Amino acid sequence: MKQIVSLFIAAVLEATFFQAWGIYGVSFNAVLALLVLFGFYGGGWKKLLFPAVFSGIMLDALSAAPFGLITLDLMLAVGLFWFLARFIPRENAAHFILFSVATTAWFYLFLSVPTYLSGSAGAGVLFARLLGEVVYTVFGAFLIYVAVKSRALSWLIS
Amino acid sequence: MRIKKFHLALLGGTAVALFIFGAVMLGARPLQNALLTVLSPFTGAAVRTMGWFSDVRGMFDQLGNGSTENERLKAENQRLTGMLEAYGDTQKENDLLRKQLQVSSPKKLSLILANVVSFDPLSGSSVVLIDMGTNDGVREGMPVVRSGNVLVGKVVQTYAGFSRVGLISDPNTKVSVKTAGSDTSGVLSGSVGNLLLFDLIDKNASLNKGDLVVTSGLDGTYPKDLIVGWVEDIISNQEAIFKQAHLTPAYGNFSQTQVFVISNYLK
Repeated sequence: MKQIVSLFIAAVLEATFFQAWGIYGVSFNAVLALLVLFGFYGGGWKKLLFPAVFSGIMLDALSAAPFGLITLDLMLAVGLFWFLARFIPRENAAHFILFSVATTAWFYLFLSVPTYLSGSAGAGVLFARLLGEVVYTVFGAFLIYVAVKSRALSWLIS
Repeated sequence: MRIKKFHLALLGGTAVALFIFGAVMLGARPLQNALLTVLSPFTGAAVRTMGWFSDVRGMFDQLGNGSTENERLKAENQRLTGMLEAYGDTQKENDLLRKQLQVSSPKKLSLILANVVSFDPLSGSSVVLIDMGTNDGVREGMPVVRSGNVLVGKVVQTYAGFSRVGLISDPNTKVSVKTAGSDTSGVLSGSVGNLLLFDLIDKNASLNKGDLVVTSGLDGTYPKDLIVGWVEDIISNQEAIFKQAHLTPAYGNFSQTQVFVISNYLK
């Protein structure tokens, strides 16, 4: 339940505060970061499926993109999480940041395809955005890791 | 066994996602409208809180620059009072000429007041969601302004109780614009960051930093003389046929969360 509530709050923040604080249209993807956190500490990919569908539907409702696209993209991110978890142990901050960065890059790479094909943005702009998201994620994931370890957010994974 | 389970779960999840995706074809808008009805009180409260923070920050900024700001406003007030008197005379003369030439007055714009309830989580802040939809008379393509006739954008997607507004900062948006004083015309589009791109300007046309840019009304999408922004910097290249300029948008950073949809301009 606390996962669902925190994802709900993250989706609301993502559609409001984080967009206003974004730089050049790039903002922190709090929902994806929380999903990775739950998967990393809370029992792996199996525990991610329902929260991913739940948060995907919320973001789909708030977004102008075709309905279902974000849900599908989050499911693909869960797929990548499962793949990474087979080879990389879920142990420390570096691993957590690696999981976060890889899923974020995968998520935005998938989203960039329809944007690129529709001609709304060039490859350069999309690549710059992807890079921006990755940089945001490195900082965001690090802060979340520190918060979890310092018990400010430990209730989220307990 | 573990992989098999995963495949099953992933397939199930993907099927759900595809089903929702497919619902677009069958009309996902009622479903999206229902979800937005649940989410909008929360996102709306967050947007209003953002506005409140912005107002408080503005108040502190004003306290910091109080005396300078006061002097600047006094000078601006004097200048505007002078302009208003001149405008009154011009208005009278205009009315007289209209009567003599039997030309009807321009149509007054009809406005629908709406609140901004969220931003698009994917497109940065170039699309906003407002709490008025087709039930309130909003249609796709209608121009959207803020108080003071400041152009915000146009309605790009409608639901029963909500609409999405594409801001003029969206790179896909094109607006026919001109400078307020010298009538230097061009086309406006979104640009990287919070700036707008004033493009296709005649190379020899007069343009200065700080010039006010307004809509020309030539595109038929936006009424004329809506305020767009101010020239920030001019990009001039000797070899290029046209010159370009970056504009600072007049709509600011959405500290005000109310906008107006112009409902009687779209044909």
